[in-house]
Amino acid sequence: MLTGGRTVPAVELGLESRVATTGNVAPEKLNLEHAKAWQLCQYPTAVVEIAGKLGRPVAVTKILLADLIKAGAATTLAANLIEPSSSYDLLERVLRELKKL
Amino acid sequence: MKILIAGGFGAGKTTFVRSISEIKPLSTEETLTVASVPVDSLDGIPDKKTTTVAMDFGRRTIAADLRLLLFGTPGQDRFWFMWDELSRGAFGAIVLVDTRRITDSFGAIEFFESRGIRFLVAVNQFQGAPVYPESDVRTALALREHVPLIRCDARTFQSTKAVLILLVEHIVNTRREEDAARVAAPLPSGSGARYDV
Repeated sequence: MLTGGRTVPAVELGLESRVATTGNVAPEKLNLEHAKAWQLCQYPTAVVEIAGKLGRPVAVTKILLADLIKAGAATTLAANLIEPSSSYDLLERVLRELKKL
Repeated sequence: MKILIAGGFGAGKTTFVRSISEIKPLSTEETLTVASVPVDSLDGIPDKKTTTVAMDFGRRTIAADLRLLLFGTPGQDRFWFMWDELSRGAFGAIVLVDTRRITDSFGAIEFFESRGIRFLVAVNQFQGAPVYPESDVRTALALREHVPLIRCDARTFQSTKAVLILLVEHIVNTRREEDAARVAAPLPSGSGARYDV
């Protein structure tokens, strides 16, 4: 059973929350499904991206990632989303970089 | 920066995400809990249900510390109210329209208007589809004057990039106008960003 029947993750995660491994827990100690999720967050990666690569629904992925976080194998970083109310400097920079693409 | 790509089934959302994303678009499912009154319910008692919606995800790094997160969202269903959860933190939205199925985009437009999420309409010009004048499309969509309308080809990078630039410009300009209106006298009605497309 993937999530042990749980439907609520132990740590609250958003779709864009980034998760990254810590290196504190050896992947051999994780079960297969957790190890797969662990593999996918070697670099800070958004929950939705991990779910897509894992081929699991977001809800299931959140539970697996929350387990990793609780076990100290991974950590979560704020999504830091840019909003329409962000500073003009930042918004102008986004525009400049977009145009350079 | 989180950007939603909405529109009816087959309007080109996945294609749009693919054109701009640096990773192959990922398809995933989000399970949402909703309080709903089932259409076939005779007693009308609200019921807690879960519904699964599929979405596409793509991303594009535009600077070492800046990333576009692109969410292709289903728009053909009657569960628009659930999108509150998925649209949290969104910078803005793009509503893709296929002129052959224009009514498919009503749900998305209505949702973003009601939630105050800034958006623009991008007409994905399919080959062989009729090309209508901008004013006709605006009328058909009951689009308010301040909402930008642009034609695009969701298959090309340059075209999707132009749509994204217009969206960010529109949102920044709107913010500037709002800020100006707050300090100065209120602007006369009807003043707002206009785009010639």
